[in-house]
Amino acid sequence: MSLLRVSRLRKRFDPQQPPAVDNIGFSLERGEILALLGPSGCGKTTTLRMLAGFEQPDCGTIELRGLPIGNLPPERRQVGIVFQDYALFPHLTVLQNIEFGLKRLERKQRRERALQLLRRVSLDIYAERMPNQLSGGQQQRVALIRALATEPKLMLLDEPFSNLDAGLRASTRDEVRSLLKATQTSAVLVTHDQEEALSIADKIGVMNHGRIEQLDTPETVYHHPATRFVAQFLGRTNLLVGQAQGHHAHTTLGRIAIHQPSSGEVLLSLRPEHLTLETAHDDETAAQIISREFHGHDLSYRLRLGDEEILAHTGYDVSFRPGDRVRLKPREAAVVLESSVGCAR
Amino acid sequence: MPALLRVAAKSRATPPLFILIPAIVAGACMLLPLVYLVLRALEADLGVVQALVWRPRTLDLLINTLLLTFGVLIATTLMALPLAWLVVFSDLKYKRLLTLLGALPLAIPGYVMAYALLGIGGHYGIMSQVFNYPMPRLQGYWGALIALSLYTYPYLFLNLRAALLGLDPSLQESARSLGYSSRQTFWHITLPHLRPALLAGWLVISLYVLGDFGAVALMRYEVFSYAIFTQYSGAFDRIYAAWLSLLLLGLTLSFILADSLLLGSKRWARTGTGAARTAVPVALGFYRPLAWLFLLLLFGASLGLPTLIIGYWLSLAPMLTDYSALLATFLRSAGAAGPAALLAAAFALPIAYLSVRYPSPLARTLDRLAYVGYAIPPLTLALALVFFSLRSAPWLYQTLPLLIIAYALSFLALALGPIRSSLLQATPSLEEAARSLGRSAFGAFSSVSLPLLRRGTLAGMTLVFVIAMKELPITFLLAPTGYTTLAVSVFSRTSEAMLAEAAPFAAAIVLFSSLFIGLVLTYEGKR
Repeated sequence: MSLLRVSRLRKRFDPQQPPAVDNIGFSLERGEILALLGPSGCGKTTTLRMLAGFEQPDCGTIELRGLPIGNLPPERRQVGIVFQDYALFPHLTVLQNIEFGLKRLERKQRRERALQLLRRVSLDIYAERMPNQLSGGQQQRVALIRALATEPKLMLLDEPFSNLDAGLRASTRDEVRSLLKATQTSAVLVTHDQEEALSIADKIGVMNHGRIEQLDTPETVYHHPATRFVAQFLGRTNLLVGQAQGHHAHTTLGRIAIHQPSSGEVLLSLRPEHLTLETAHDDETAAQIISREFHGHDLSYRLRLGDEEILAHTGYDVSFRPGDRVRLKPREAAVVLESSVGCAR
Repeated sequence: MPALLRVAAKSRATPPLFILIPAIVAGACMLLPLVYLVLRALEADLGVVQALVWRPRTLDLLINTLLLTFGVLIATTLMALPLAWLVVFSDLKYKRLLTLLGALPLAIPGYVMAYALLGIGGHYGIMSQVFNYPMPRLQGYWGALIALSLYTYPYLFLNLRAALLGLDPSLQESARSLGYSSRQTFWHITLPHLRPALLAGWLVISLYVLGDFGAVALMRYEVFSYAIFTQYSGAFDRIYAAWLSLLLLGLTLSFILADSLLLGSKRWARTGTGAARTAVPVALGFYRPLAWLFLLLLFGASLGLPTLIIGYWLSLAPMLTDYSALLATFLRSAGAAGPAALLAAAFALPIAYLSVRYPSPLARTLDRLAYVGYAIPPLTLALALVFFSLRSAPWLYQTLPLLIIAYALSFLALALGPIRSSLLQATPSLEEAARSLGRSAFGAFSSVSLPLLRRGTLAGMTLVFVIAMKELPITFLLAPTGYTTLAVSVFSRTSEAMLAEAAPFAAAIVLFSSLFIGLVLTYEGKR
């Protein structure tokens, strides 16, 4: 049985506007980390707040360990949350912040447990400090520990790393992931940062206009995007229109392999790093290099092919000059995209 | 998700009952007496009302009130604008001290200022007794005008100073580089940008002048508030008093309306709030002695004079001071002001919480009502409460609780400001974090938000306490018989020309109110 099961969740704030969250459903196993990824306004934070109980869904069910929690107030859900601004109580010390959720324990036990948790993230020396005397990364860890202290069944994280500077982000991310894994805590994390989602999550749900467009492992979501929106939101991609016939399609690149048998007109996604360049022998499908960027470990080329512009990331050993005529060669099968709903880009 | 969306989301949530109910009770407390006043006034026969209201005396009162209000506005502008400019832009020294001196007259209420002015002339006045130079008493229009102007100009000064400090110096610098002289720059750039500050200061001052009772009564200048008082206490025509109160309320509301119309017609975009760059000080050159003369006259009249007169009467009759009576009077003032401060905070907390966390038309209305209480002339409010208690709660009439409620309603807006700003600093996610850690809605509010609001609440309560200590008209109408406060003592002794006997009470008020100025300045300094 899944730990968390969400089905047909819907929330509309303004009758004039489309719903903020539209018919969302997913499930989460014990110890799994799910990232809800999407642009701002896609409904991911609203989803999170409905899970926490700060927002009432218009319809739909939320089940935690088989029990419906949709009508429980936040304090009775056993769901922990870490806010984007951490929400550490500024009038309490670090230790008191962690003890805050442990009021069922006796005073002495409370203190012991809080200190033990602080030790775990090596912040026990700051126990008597006020939150504003800690750095951003330390505040982040205290917020996480505070939520973990109550041993929640589910942990929610709202843009947890967006207030940290880039250098700190990667290391804090690792720490949070290993802490969640060590305590076998399931988590739902909301972010607009694709790199964050790809690196921390076991599963990614890509959201757009209140719906989940694709829910799968990071690898699958990246390599086999289901829709045009997903393909473009995660990394960069080349979109090609082609005529499919079985395992191949005719495109401006010529006849290329596609990842699933199809027929008729299809929209294909081909990642720039899945393309490589060769010297052109015939003029028919030759592309012309518009510009090149040298990155050291690899190169980026912008090319013109007919009316279209194509992006290719090649290895360090593929070297051409702007103006050269080359042949584009896919190294992987192109991905056939579903016609995506409400695609803005 | 952007913060904006989250705020919008919050606005749909329903506020908890422990917030909603007290807020509505506070709003009802504010509204009930006013409704009662209107009902009472409408009770009268239409013919009687017409005979009462449509007579030359009402027109006289209206003209007198308007003359006094606009006179004070002009006088205070002439005092406050040069002072603010000098304190912000000139190369004068001791600007910090000059600012303090400019705010200090707030410690001297209008009736004490009137007391000081009355102590100059006349047979027993300081001019005649000390300098052997008899001169007539300063009375009537000019007496009231000077007393009120000297007391209220700091409100305009502090507003103008804040606006000048916030002015982007590069605006003035670009005007100079486009060929404007420093004087032309002032008229074409600086002054137009001062418009919101001028309007705000003018509104506060006109509310004070319209509502003032002590200074005009002592100066025997017939305006609405004075006439309401004589009607109520002497002739005892309560219908006429009610109608005069309504007229005064209408006049006050039209000032507020005019202010928002003038402000709304043109908005001056605020420039960025980045680190403020201060302008290069303007060298005064050979205008310097003129500037010092201006400062000397201004501070001499607004601070030196009252100090001198109070000191003179105190030194004249030291044995007249009955310290135990003084202490008892002080305690009576504090005994009403203290509970009033508590009640005002108890009203303000739920209203502020509602309007910040759960914005809705209801929350906005309750918030506005709090400011209505501040804007209503105190005599009108007091009279409304008299009518209300006589009719529906006679056991409340002339009791201390009613006086306390009246103070709390009148000064609710003062407590609201600091509480609201500390509430804005405590983000909603703090309470949500407490909820997810197992606290109920009330538990989260009391364990997280309430402690964070402590400073703001204390600041608001202190403001209410100090201003209620020197309140006169409400006290005069609503205090239980024999419950004389400091303010009432100064007023009644001065109106019977017992200036020496009034001196210790006046001194106590001035000393105590100086605390208020300290608070206002620290509060202003923090923003």
